[in-house]
Amino acid sequence: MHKLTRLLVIYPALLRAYWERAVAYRAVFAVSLLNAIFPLVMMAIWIGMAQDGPVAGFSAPDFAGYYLAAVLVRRLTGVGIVQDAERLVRSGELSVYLFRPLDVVHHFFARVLTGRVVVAPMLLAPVALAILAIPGSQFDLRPATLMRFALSCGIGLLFEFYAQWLLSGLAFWIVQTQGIAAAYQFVKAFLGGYIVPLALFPPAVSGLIIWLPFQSSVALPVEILTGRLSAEQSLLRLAIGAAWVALIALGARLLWRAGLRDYSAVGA
Amino acid sequence: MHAIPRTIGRYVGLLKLFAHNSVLTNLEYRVNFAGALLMSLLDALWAVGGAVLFYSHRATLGGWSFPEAMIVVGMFFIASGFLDAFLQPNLRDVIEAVRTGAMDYVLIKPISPMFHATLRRFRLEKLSSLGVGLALIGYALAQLRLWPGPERWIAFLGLGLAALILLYALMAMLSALCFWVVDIANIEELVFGVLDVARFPAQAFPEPVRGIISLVIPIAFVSTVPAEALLGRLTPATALYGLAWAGAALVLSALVWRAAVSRYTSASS
Repeated sequence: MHKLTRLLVIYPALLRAYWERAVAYRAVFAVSLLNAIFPLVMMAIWIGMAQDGPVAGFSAPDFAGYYLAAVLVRRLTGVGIVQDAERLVRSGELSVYLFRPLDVVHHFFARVLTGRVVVAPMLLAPVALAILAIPGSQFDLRPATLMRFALSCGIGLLFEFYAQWLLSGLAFWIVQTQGIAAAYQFVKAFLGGYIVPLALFPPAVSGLIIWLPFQSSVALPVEILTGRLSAEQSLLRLAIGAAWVALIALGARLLWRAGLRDYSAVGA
Repeated sequence: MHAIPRTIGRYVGLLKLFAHNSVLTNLEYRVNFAGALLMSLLDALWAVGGAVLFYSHRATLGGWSFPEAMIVVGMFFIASGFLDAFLQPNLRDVIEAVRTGAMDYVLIKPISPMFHATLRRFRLEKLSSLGVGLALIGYALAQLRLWPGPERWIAFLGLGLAALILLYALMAMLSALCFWVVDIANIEELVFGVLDVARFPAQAFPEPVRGIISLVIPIAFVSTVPAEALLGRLTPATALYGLAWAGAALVLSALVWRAAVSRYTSASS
């Protein structure tokens, strides 16, 4: 319990420091929003197809609502820490953090949290405008749904963070972590509902995909927000997501502990 | 009258030298080849997987059958491989050189600064996308049981080349932008993002987008138009329009570079 209270004291200061950093690099954030273009390309094509009748239950406004929500959620749950974490390990800069009393994971987590706060407002306005401009695409904004949405975004963020923390931990042993991380991004984007709504996969496949961890990164929050899931369905999938987060976080922790043991053995 | 052939000869010689140096550097990092090939294959899975999902719901997209659309996807990979291998590393170098003042060393050399700054380096391993693109086009032609006649191949190669020139001119202009605005470190994402539109046939997009990418921002010329040339669906007017765009963009990029260089204030002045 003592450890937890200490963290509660440290976090405000940590968040303030990384907030200032995030604000200083606003321009970089603004450009990274352009990453959002590929799903919009997919959206445009689906909308083109939906002109002669709905595609697997999706009408043109449904596609617009889904992808706009996906772009928003991607900014809320997306994480990019592998490059920096890997550099820390490879260059030996990590040693500086090891002197400090706080586990290095908290530095990264604080940075990720503050990044969220800078990015989200940049997207809220355009997404809200787009939704108002497209008749028929409606979000489920009842309080209970919004609470499930917030919860799913939290799980999605934790999944993304710990999955990448796990991947960066590989840098203790192998050099090509970046390549593995990029491969992970490809797989996650496709199976996580960012590129294509999971419902548009063949039914047998989409039934399997919801049991994978990737679904919580984008698909689950988006499906909740667009009102595609019943309360029971969303609770089941939230539970699947939470279970994966626990498993991945545990794995990441063990991997980093083993890595740090090897790391100090080298004499850093 | 010997001046022009001599100049061209000198520049071709320099290109050979740049290529030689790049190959030597690339061979130092041989592991990267495997990594780059894996990335290209994953990227291809994305594009092909997306297309498979589209076609699982409809038989044709904007009049393109699945194998026909694969020619477009293949052409996209050739273009993006070219972008990755040649244009992107140099764009990074230019931004860095302008920021640090190292551009001085480029400007004092007795050759065109645009030539030196935009073509000096390439990354051999990124050519794996080119292989993936060619494989997709080969697959498509085999599926269609189609062997185009020589005039279609000539049109395809000519328009494919025009597409690459267009991309080169676009990236050259973007890199010149950093003479005005120093902090554009990840502007390349803009190009990659916009180029994503070229993954699928232009006719698959609904109306306002289709018109924009066929006429205003000529992304359709990167992949759709060369594919149409190979399938023999191209009108001479569209072909000429594409070639004119490429030529105009190249001239414009040279003018922009001239203006940019004259504006450059070095690290010391």
